[in-house]
Amino acid sequence: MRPGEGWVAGLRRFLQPASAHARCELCGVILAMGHAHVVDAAEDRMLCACETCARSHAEGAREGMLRVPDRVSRLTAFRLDDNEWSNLGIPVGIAFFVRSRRDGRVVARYPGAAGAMESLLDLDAWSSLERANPVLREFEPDVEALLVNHLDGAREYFRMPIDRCYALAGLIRSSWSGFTGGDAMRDTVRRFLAEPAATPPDGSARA
Amino acid sequence: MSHADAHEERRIEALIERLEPLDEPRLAAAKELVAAVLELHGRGMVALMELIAVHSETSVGRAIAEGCLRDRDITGLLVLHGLHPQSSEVRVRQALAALHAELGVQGIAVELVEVEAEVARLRLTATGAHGFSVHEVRRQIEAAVLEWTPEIAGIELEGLPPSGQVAFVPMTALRSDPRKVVGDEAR
Repeated sequence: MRPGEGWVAGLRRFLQPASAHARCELCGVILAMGHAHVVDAAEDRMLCACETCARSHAEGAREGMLRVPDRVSRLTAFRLDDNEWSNLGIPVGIAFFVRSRRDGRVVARYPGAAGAMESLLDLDAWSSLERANPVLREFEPDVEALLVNHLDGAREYFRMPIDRCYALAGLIRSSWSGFTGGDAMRDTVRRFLAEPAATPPDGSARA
Repeated sequence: MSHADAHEERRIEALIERLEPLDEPRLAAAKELVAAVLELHGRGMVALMELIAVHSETSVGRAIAEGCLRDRDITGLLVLHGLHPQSSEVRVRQALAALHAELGVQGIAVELVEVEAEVARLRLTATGAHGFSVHEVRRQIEAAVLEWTPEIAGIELEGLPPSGQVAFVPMTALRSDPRKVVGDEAR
C-alpha cells in the first residue's frame, strides 16, 4: 500500500483493468469514445458495441439484440399532472421508464441514497399515461425511455435512449449526497438536461 | 481502530502485493474472483441500504442509519461499495475534528483544503511553539483520516517541515514558509 492510501483505494487500484480501453462486447475491437450500445433483451443488459456490430442490429430484434438509437427529444406537449405523477409511486423527482418488448411491462428506474432503484409500474397508470400522450406508443421498447424531471419544480419530459439515461444515472450517482441527493446532484441534472444530446452515451465527457 | 481490524486491512494489502507479480491470465482470474465476490456482496449491501432508506423517516430507522454511519466497519463496507451517503470531505473533516485535542497539545491545528481525485489535501498550522515529531504527526493524521475514508488514495500535508525527527517550529516560520510535503519523505 502506498503511504496515505486507504485499503478501499488500494483494492480499487488492484482491480482496475490493465487496459483502460473499452472494447466492443460483440467482436472485441477497441472502441472510440462515444461508441454505440446494443441491448440484449433476453439477458436484460446493455453492451458496448462498435459501429459495425451496432449497425447489424439496427433493424430490429435479430437474436434479441437491439441497437440503442441516438435521438433525444424534449417532449414539450407532454401531459402529466402532479396527481398522476404521485400515482406512479416514484419517491424522488426524477425517473426514467422503459417498456419491455418481451412482456409489455414498464419498469421505472430512479436514483436513491442506496444507488439506483427499480420498480415495476402499475399497468393501469401507464395505460392512462399512454392515452394522454400517444407519443409513448412510438417509443421503441427496451431501448427508448421516457425521462421525467420533476426536481425542484421542473416539469420536463424527454424521449431519451436508455444509454443516455444510464449515463445520467451514473452522473447522479457520483454527485449524490445525503438521503435526498443534495445541491450538487441537482446541478448535475440541470446541466445534463440543458443539453441532453451533448454528453456521449457512455457519459465520458463530464463537465 | 481496533488492532484486529487494522491487521485485516494490512493483510489485504500484503496479499495484493503478493498477487501483483503473477502473469496476466492468473492475475486476471484473481481480480475477477475478487470482483465477483464484491459484486455479490455489493448487491446485498444495496438491498440492505434500501431497507434502511425506506425506514429512514421513522425514529428506529433513523437510529439505525445514524448508527451505521458511526460504526467504522460499516462505514468501510459502505465506502467499499460506493454507498456511503456522506462525501469524503465530510468524513475527513469529522476525522480531523476528532484529532483536534490530540494535535492541539502538540501545538498543531490541521484543516482540510480539498479532496480532489481521491487525494486529500490538508493544511497544518502551528498554534504554539511546541516540539513535535514530524513522523509521528503524519502517522497520527493518516491513521485518523484513513479510518473513516478508506477510499482516499493519497494524503498531502501542507505546512509540515520535511526533515528531522523532532521539529521545533515557531509559528511565524510555519506561516511564512509553508513547505509542501507529498506522501513519504523519501519521494
